[in-house]
Amino acid sequence: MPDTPDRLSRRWLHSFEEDHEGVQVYRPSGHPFPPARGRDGIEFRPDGTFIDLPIGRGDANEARPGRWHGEPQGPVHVHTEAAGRRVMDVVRLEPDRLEVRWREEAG
Amino acid sequence: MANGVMNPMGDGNLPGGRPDPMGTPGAVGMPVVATSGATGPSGMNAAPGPSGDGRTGGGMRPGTAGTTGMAGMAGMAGGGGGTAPTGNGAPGPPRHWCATMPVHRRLLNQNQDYARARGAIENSTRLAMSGRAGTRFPDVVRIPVVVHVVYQDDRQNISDEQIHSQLAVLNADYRAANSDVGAVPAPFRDLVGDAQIEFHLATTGPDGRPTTGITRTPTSVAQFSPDDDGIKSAATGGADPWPAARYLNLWVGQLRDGLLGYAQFPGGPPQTDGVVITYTAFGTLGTAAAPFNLGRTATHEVGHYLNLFHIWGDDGTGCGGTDEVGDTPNQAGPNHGKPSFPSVSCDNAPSGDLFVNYMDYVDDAAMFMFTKGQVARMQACLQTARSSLLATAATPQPAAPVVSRGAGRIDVVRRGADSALHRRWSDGTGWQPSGAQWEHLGGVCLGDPRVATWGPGRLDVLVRGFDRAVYHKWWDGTAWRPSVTGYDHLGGICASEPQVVSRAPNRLDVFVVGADSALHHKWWDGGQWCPTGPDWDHLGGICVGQPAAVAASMNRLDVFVVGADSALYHKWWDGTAWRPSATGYDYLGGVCTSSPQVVARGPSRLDVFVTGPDAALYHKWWDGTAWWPTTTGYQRLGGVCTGDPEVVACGPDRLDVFVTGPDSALHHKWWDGVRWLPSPLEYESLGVPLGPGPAAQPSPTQPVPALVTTAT
Repeated sequence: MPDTPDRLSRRWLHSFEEDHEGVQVYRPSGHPFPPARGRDGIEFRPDGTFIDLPIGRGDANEARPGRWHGEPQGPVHVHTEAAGRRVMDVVRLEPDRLEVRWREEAG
Repeated sequence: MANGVMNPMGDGNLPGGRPDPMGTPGAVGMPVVATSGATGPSGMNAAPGPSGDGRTGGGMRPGTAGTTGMAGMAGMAGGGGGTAPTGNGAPGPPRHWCATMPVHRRLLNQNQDYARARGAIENSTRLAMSGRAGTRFPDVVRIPVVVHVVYQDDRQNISDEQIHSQLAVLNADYRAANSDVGAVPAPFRDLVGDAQIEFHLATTGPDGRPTTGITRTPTSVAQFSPDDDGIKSAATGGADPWPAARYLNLWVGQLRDGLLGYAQFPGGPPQTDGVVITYTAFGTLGTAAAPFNLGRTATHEVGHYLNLFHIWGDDGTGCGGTDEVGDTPNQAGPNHGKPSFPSVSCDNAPSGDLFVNYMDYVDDAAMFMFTKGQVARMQACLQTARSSLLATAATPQPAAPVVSRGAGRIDVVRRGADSALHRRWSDGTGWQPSGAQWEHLGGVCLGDPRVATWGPGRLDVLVRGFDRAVYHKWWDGTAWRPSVTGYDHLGGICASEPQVVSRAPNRLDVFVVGADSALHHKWWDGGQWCPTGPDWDHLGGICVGQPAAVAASMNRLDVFVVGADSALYHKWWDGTAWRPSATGYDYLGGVCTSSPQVVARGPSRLDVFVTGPDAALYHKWWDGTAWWPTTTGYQRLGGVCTGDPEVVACGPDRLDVFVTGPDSALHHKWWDGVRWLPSPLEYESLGVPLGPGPAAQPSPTQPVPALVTTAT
């Protein structure tokens, strides 16, 4: 089974309709999402580029590039200039579903 | 002052709270949103209005229209300049990493330009909003729209009717004339603003040729993404925009990942300027699917296009963001679905978030309003970054009101470039005053005057002043009253020009569309104006454009208006009461792109003309017992009309119709009692009037245009 970092490498959009108990659910871009006025997302690239994709002022996603790295089975660390350092604990990772908990970087 | 724009009723009733005896949105007579296969008048004329003469309704009172207080804008923080591009630049996930760096660098450069442009726009917005508040936005503006349908299958190739239904929603929402505005929670009602912006499908294309304002482009692209704006370019399977300086470009297609729509703010590249909406959230018919089937996605996106930010301030769910609007409550993040009032965040209790606002993220059925502050921001945008739209937005108006008060006698009254009124007249032997002079009649007029006469020595001039009230002056046979350059103030806050008819000597009836979009009436009974003072009689409706009125006989008035759904509506005074009711209307169908024109060529014969979405002229008539060709049907008379038609009836068997074509020439056809000449669908050209054309700013020194001499 590939490590978490390999399986993360794609664009994920927030399937906020499926969020539950502090867990945020993401689905890959291309998933048949229900219609929404805006949908934030995250993108992990193999070279360590992270792109935060908040809902932009005109409803399309903005792209805020940063960096990411993750341990083979551990948490994922992301950093952008706009949002600072954050940690993403992966609760569940399947090809069509990513469930995470976000927290601030300790210290 | 805060509610002067929306609430001329003076009794606390907002338009949405109008009496609705049927308890259904259409029962009062003016459905805002056309439903497919509108069912004709059966449901529309049954509203049981007040019995009797119905003339005791709440009057329209003068107010301080347009002075939407912006004193609260001092807290606008910077940040516009740092706004990242939205619809036009965010790089998507490149499939080939090696191609990313050049793309990224190009976007970065674009973004710097864009950031600079955005900063300049925010500065000019503040200047426009802070200065000259009283004259900021004198009148309704009309924005030409082109809809680019980009489709992969027949379902995505949405119908003209679906497109028209979207335009109707925009025209209601941007005039605060939406039928659900009454659902705004009471603490927010004073915030409701009328943006005074109307939208129409373009009638002239970029090449100067007539157009329906709709393009249709087949594509092999299954889904479009905002990342590359692919739908906006033929090279990427979309449709190229029309010049963004002159048209609002509105693309409709299948968007990726469930996105309903996205917009580009002013200041971005012209080749991607405009709004994109997914085909299942466009209009109210056809493929529009709940809960986004009331056309509000376009209302929201056009708000962005006119420089409105999301109401929560675009800072995620924090309380530090701002939408740069002073009268919207601070709000954490977007609301979804249909929230119940109040929805509190960011210490904004007790009223909470203004989630009923078009710039939140709620369902179509839960958003009802712009605020006055948002209106001021959009108007500032139209004065600055998007001012080029207004140069093309002016609808050509009739050259000049003209009236004949006796054989061989013609009086022409028009508004000059100085906003005052001027008159020339002919007694059959030549134009007076002699030379190129016009008689100066004073005034500071917002619109063109209307003139009536009820006797050989009598002229009555009605005009809208800059305060949007109606003013009156008259020629009594020997002198102008109250003075050569003076006017009587008749009150009102008018969204249309006053329309005046005289149905008997010493009797005038004046109709206007008020700031509440309803029709209002005031009449001179021979001794005084009724209702007295600045009040007007309320006749209901949600009206777009100019009303048309005619007096076919002494005890008969017929009034026609175009509703927010672009259909034609009719009410009449039968000598004792308004029919079908005091505030109700009969539905006469149609999709009107002009204001109606009506003439009576006999005591029971009415002819009504409008232009349709195809820019052709359409005609229907009342023969004393029925509407022809059908109650909701129209006779197509061809032509390509760029403005309102003009009609005159010289006799019971004669009609002369004049329209301005895309070539700026005046075109003429006539009914000789038997048939239309030169043919049912053809016109004779009368050429281009002297001067720069009918759309030009009228000047009192211009020669009398062809329309006057031909039509009289």
